[in-house]
Amino acid sequence: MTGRVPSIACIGVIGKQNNPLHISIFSSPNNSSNTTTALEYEFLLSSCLDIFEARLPYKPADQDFGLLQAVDERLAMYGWLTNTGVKFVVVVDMEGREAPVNSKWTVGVGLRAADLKGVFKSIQTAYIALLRNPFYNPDEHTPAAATAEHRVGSTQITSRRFIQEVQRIGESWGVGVGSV
Amino acid sequence: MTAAGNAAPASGAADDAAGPNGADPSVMDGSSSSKVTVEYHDPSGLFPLIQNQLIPRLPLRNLHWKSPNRPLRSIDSLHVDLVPSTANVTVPGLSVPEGPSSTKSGPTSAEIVRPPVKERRHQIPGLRQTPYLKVYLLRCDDSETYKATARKQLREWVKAHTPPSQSSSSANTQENHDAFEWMILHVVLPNTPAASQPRGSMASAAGTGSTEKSSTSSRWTRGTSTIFEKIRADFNVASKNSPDRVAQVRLQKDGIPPHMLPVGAGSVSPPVNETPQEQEIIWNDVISKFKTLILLSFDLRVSQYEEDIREKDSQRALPGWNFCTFFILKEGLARGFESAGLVEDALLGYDELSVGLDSIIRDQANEGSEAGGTILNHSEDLYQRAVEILESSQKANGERQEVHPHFHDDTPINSRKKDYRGLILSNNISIFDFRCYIFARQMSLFLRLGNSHSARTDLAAKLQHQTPSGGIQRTQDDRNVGTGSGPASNESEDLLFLAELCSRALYFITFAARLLREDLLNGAKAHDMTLPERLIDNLVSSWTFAAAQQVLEETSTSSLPISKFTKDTTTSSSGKMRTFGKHGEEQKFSVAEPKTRIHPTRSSSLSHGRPSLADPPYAQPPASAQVVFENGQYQERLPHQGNTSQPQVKSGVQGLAGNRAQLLILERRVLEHIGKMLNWRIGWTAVIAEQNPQKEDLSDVDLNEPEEKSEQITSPKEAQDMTSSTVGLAAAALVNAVSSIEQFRDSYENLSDLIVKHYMAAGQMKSGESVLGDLAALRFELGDFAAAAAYFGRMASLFAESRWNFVQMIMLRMYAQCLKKLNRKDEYVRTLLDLLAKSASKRKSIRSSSKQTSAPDVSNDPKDWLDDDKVDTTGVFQELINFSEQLPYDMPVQMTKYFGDINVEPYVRHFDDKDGFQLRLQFRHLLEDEIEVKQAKVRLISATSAQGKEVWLESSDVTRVQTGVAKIWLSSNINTTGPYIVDKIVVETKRISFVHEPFIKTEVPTPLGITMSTSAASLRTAKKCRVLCFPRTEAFQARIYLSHFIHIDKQRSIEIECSSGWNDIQHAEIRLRSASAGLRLRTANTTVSSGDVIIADKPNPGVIGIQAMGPHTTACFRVPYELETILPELSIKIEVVYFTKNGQFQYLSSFKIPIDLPLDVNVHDHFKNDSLFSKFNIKTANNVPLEVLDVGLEGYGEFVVDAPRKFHGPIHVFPKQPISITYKIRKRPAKDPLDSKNIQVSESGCLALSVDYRCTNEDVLERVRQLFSNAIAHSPFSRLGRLLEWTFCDALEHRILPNQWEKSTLLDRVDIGSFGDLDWGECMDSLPHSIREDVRAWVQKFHEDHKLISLATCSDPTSLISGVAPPSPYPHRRIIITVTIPPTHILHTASLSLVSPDQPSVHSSAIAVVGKPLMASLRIKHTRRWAIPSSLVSAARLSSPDDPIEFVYIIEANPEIWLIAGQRRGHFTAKEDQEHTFPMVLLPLKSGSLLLPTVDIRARVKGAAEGDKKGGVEQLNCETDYLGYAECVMVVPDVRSSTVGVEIGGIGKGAVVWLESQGRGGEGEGVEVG
Repeated sequence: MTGRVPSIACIGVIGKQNNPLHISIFSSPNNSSNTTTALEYEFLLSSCLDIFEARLPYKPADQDFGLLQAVDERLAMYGWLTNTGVKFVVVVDMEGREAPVNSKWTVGVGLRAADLKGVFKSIQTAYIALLRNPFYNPDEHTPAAATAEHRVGSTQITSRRFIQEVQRIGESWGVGVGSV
Repeated sequence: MTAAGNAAPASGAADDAAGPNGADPSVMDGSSSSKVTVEYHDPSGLFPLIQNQLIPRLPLRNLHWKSPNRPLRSIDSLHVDLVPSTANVTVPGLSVPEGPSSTKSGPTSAEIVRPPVKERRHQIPGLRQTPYLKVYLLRCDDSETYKATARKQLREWVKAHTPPSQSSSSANTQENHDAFEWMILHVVLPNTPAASQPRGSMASAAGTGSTEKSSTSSRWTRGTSTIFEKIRADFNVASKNSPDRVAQVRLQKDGIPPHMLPVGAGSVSPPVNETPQEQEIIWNDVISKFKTLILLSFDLRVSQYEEDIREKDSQRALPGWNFCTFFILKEGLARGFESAGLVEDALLGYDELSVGLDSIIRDQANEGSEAGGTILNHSEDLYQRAVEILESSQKANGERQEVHPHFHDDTPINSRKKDYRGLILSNNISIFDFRCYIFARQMSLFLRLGNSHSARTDLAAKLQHQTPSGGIQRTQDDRNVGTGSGPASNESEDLLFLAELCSRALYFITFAARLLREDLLNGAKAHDMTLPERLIDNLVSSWTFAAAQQVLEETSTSSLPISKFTKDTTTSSSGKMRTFGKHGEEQKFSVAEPKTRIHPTRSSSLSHGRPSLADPPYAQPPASAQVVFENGQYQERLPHQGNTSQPQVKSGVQGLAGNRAQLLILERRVLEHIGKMLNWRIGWTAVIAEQNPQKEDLSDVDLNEPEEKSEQITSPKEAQDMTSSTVGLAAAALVNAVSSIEQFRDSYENLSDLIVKHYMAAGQMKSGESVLGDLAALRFELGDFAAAAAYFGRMASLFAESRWNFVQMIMLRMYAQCLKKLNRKDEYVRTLLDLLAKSASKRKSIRSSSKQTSAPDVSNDPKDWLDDDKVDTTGVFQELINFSEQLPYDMPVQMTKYFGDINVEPYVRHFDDKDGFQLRLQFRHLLEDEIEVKQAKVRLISATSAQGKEVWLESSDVTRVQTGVAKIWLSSNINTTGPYIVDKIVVETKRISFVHEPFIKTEVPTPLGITMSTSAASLRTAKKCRVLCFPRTEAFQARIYLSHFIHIDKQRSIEIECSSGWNDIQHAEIRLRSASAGLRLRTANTTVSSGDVIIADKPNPGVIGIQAMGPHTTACFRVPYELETILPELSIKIEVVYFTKNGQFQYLSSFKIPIDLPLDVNVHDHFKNDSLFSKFNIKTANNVPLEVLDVGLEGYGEFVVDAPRKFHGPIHVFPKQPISITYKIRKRPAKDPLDSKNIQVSESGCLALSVDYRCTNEDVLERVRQLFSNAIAHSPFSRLGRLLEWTFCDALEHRILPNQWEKSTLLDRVDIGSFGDLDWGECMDSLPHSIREDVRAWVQKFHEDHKLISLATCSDPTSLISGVAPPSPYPHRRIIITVTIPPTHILHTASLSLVSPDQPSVHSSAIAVVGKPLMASLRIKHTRRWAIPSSLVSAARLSSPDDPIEFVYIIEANPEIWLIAGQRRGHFTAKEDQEHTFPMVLLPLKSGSLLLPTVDIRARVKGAAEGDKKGGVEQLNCETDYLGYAECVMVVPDVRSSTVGVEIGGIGKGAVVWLESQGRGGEGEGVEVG
């Protein structure tokens, strides 16, 4: 497993009422995207909400929640909470992808929460862009609204542009990449 | 100097601790507790003597340390390690108790080598265990001894031990690291001269300086000074700043062993007895000196360290700077803090170091430089061990019984496992080791901060060790030392620190696991070989597991009862590796302090381990109702855990629990990982793998297979695989778990169980639930479906709440499977329906989004996006439908959830050969499966009337529906006209019927009773669902109208006109239903009024059965009715069920029939002597002009009517222009009185007035309709005739015509308005698009052509003149009104005739003169002709009709006008045809045209008063026909001529004077006026 560097395994955007707005899973060779993986990530994201909740009283002035939970040797979850209560969760796979040729990454260095700040900022930018879309009404993407309208489906974001942007962010991030 | 001595007790302590506390034998570095070393130099062997006094006063309390650049730090308690100096001399014969210096056992394996530390200490100014204070225990029994020997000894000792710093403050920095202070403690033994020296000075010496002075002065006066004072004088530095270094204690005689007592001491002066209080003061003095001096040297050391660190830090950029050296230096400081009890400062130090290490590694990684010293990338020893394991496993060849070399032990995180410091110093440490070391140190500090039980027991054990195992003191020690820093601090474990430790540990362990892996790989690479990947994996996993387990155990606390349970389970699951001693100790520990628990431990079954499968936590009721812990606090908090009313508890216990849970999760993931290696899948992985085996790219392994494999050890290859897969696992629990799949599952379950409990305790429900999910999946896998179902069901709804659809779907799917297995059919079906609803909704949204964008984009979606709605439900629908057969009842479900675009096309289609119509139901089948629709139905309700009958349309046969749009024709045999609303759509499959009600009445009654307006959406649907039904032109039709003939006194009736159209009706049934209250239809009296139809039977009220009716025939039925109340109109619903050879059909309609008579008839009668004049006024009753065709009065019986001339043609009656017709009625002369009498009795004088009329409204409407229908019949849209005609008439009737009735009647034409005036819109909308425009054009054309329609009646009804409405096909109405002749018994014809009037001509009226009498005669003629004799007899109380009756006549005149002379009232009796004449004189009083007085004649009935009283008797009706009613008399004044004189001049100028007048009589009369 030498020569592997961290990459993003999953990006989750979770709404204020703890409803999933968007989940992107980035497949890696060891992590084929199938039902089990999806389920696993959904469970992980869902558990994250507890951590957000527990930490909320001690919330930093910043929106960055830093490391939420190191799941195992490879996976670690980082969180970010916007002022509107929307949560971004990034699951990092420490051995996500093959190291580039001139990578300076070594295992001993470890990942700092600051390394992910850029990712979160980019996601937030993408989300803000989404909110600026007049056809996206965030209030429609809440369970309460869905229940009121007898909608059965999920409240996820279907904006293609947003999804693609999240995809791009997730794929382009790597250690040492400042902004994505 | 003392290094060896230091090391020895420390290690000994550790070993001792390891004895009883086997679980964590060497968690704590022996030197890490907050303990300072105090070295005592005890040449006289005094230590044992003072020990008993000294030890209880330790540890030192409340030290306050203030350094220049730090805030004030308080050290609550500081343990003192009393160590004898190496130069200790024991007095022979003195039994030295087993002291700390003696080591019980050799160094443990972990205790590697100390010597290097000693060797190199000049280089590395690291932490020293050097004493902070050196105490000289002086025994000097008398002053002589002091002078002779003791003073010298002391001087030498002091000289030797004076730290250089004290002479020159910062000369040698190196030495400052070991800075210490010295002190002399004079121990005074009883019965020695020293003991008898004065006490007072001693006592006061302990006091303040002032008293000391006075006491010393007093001593000086005595000339003798005590030994104590001498020492002070000799050794205390005179400076004010320097501390007092001399103290003295006196020992009590009884505490001293006899051999220690000086012989012959009794000769000395008696000892001064000290009170216990004084002793206390003395000891306090000693202790406070201890404290001062220790702090002094501590301060010195700290400042020295800090200075060094600063210096080293500043050299960081210089080449050759070595991080390791720096590390050791800085760690020295940290350790110094730690030993002084300043744990936070120590932790801070380590944190800084950790960050330092990070940055060094980072720098090295980035720049590839070696700056800061090399840090190895692998650990040699780890590699070696791995290789050993590898070799031994290969040798062992799968025999698991052999004891493998272990890669790690139970406590992988241990700062003393290796000589880390040595390695660091020698620059020979790997990153992994380095990090491990730092974390181990941090962990121990955290544990101390957190006051965890492990830290405490460790410390306690260590301290305990110092005390001799004497009898009495033992208990005392236990109390003071064993509880560490006193009961107060013991009670509260600081859970926040423990929680922090857990969270750090989590991060560290995961991080270190990666390091370890890297380390091993690099190690192998360095030796040019490769370790099997599997081995490395296992080693890392094992290490991870063990490390997590270690942290968990360290942080278990009684505050969190489940954490204790942790041990139970792990012990039970890995019992082999653990001693029960530890377990027992654990028990004892928790029992020892029951009161100190924040939360009592649970008393539930959990503490003795859960009975294997009896009640899994998820099988219990949902969290809201669940008692997770029996402890009251949890009960209340858990249900609403969002509530942060208890932040304190939350922060502590919950935080800890949460973090521990995460550690446990880590452990479980390791377990899962290993399981995966063994192809053992568990939880979701297993379940889902089983669900869709074809989708897993990994080969699907039957779960039982590995089990079999492990049993089949006969096959060596397989066995080897097995071993190699588990080789390297050392963590006991893991080894145990992989022994078999049962064990594996068991461990997994236990772990999960624990995690759940932790999460619950932490209030982190969501996380807990997801783990519960794993457990449930496990249950499912094991076949415990009931438990799993309970969980899945709950879970699905939980996740549904916040719309985690994906999870919910999987849960639902699992739930469904469980239910199916459990044979809970109903729930199973419901769950499947839920599942399908999700799936369908997803597809719906895809459709809607693809509508917005271009369709092909759907496939271009980023593929890794986890579409939360993506659900694969192939086969589910089919399964559902098929399974539904097993349901005992039909299950209605909402159709919109499963189908899209449900819609009934609002265009009626007619059959080509029969009545009835068809509508097309259209819906989109979204799901994959093809389903079979048994029947589709649509219910229509009338849009206008609430009670209208429902119309059901049904599909004829089974339809198979595939994905996509399904269109089904639904047909109905109903024949009706009018707007309907699609009320309900039902699609029936086997047992499940999908129901859709598009028009949901969303009237929500508000509290005030105001109904909310229906939402816009529902109105829209209402409009969309409107269907305008109409039958074919050829279809059966019925019409109800008020019978055209009305006899006003007879029962009225309605008529039903049925036209069969093209139907050859075999038989039919007409059902009438009254929709008006109080209307009774007498169907039993139905008659056929026209047509060739036979009424077969009338089985029930309201039902008329008729027999065959040929095609194109019309029949009318007349049905009488009755009304209970007066109604303006009748509402009648008609339903005709008719049978043809094509089957049964139904005609539905409802009619509103106005029954108000449109005309009013008044009659006015005037009786004459031999005839009666009746004037009939005919008016319209409702402002609609009438066309009266004919009026006639029928004479009857003895009455003969003389009619006026017949009028030509119809006469129009307008509201303001009634017509009146007068008839003269005579009595037929009675030929035979008897005959006429008979007739009279029977008929009582009735005449019948018949009026033939038409109402203009009906007529015009009918005519225009006829025109229109003729037009349409000749248009291409004849088949729409019924619809268009209906719409046309409806609009005309209600909108166009009412305001122009009069006009159209007068002008003989009607304005039907333009196309826009009539409301054609709705009608047009109901037409299919294909023909809509054409129809519209046609109708528009019609309107243009027929804006004005002439109503002129043409002679030839058959000829059609365009623009002229054909005459109405219906006959005119006829009404017969019976006219009664008012009953008059007696008629008097009175006339007043003037006898002698001047009558200039016949035509002018008579002339009378004012004041002149006028002769008149009153003539009264009596007749009884109009009377019915019998009634006359009774009314007049006559014996026979011919008897005379007495009458009174009264002449009534205005007395101011007429003066009547003669009989004004007069009696007379009269008989038939008798005539009386009464003369009388009238005197007119006024001039002018005067009416004659009137005459009134009344009958005087005998006994009238009595008759009145009796009542009910017919009054005698006496009419007077007074002929003189309108007769006038011209009355003139009695003047013939008048003379008027006008005076000219005189007084009264212009005055007129009446001179004379001459009367009509001829004689003039002169009157003089003045």
